[in-house]
Amino acid sequence: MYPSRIINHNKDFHTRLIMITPDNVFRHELVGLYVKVADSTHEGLIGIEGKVVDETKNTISIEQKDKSEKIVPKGVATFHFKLPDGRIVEIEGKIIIARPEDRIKKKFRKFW
Amino acid sequence: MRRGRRPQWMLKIARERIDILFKLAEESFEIHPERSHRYIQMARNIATKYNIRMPRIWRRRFCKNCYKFLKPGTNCQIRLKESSVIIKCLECGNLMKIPYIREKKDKRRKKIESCIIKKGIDEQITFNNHH
Repeated sequence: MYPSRIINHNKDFHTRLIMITPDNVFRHELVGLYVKVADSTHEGLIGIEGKVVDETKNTISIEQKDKSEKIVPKGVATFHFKLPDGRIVEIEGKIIIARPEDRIKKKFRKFW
Repeated sequence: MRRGRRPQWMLKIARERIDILFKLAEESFEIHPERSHRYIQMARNIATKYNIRMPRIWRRRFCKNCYKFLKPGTNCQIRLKESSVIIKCLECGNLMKIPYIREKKDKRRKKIESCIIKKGIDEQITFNNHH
């Protein structure tokens, strides 16, 4: 029927896999994704990696491997988000400055 | 953008995000309860903004008074009383009553109907056997 079909018996994983794609990461939920700060104007922030645990208008808080939380401002950094299917997407922090619920309707056209 | 109705793809993303947030809240409740309360708040923000009803499975999983995540057995108490489900939030002491009297009546009605139908069939069978 379908040219390419994903065979996976874990239903939750399957649905999550389809939901978040590189086209709609900036509109989708960032909480729960694996992230790495790739570049920043502030040197101390570069290299922070871990799971996103909270999000506000201007910041992302990241839980590192040693269970400590770091709060990274969105405006000064570029992030590498790891999607649930393993692909890595680079996003500039400036374009995701918005409240988490407002990001769905934000227009991103002028940045492309 | 105009207030009120939103395009379908936005609503779809919003629904998916609510689902993800509730799942995360359930996962993180044991170690970080304050985080799961925060996720409920975020999910509610999305739902109120885009006029989406909470999904059926998650509707009873947060307090309607203090908006905290409820996990049966740890911070909420569930009882069946006077044909309604009573959920007590142990964080703020609020009672949620969800009546199920309609389902009960439906069940009764179905039982009576099925009895009548069965009787009719039985009569027919006996009638046929006699001839």
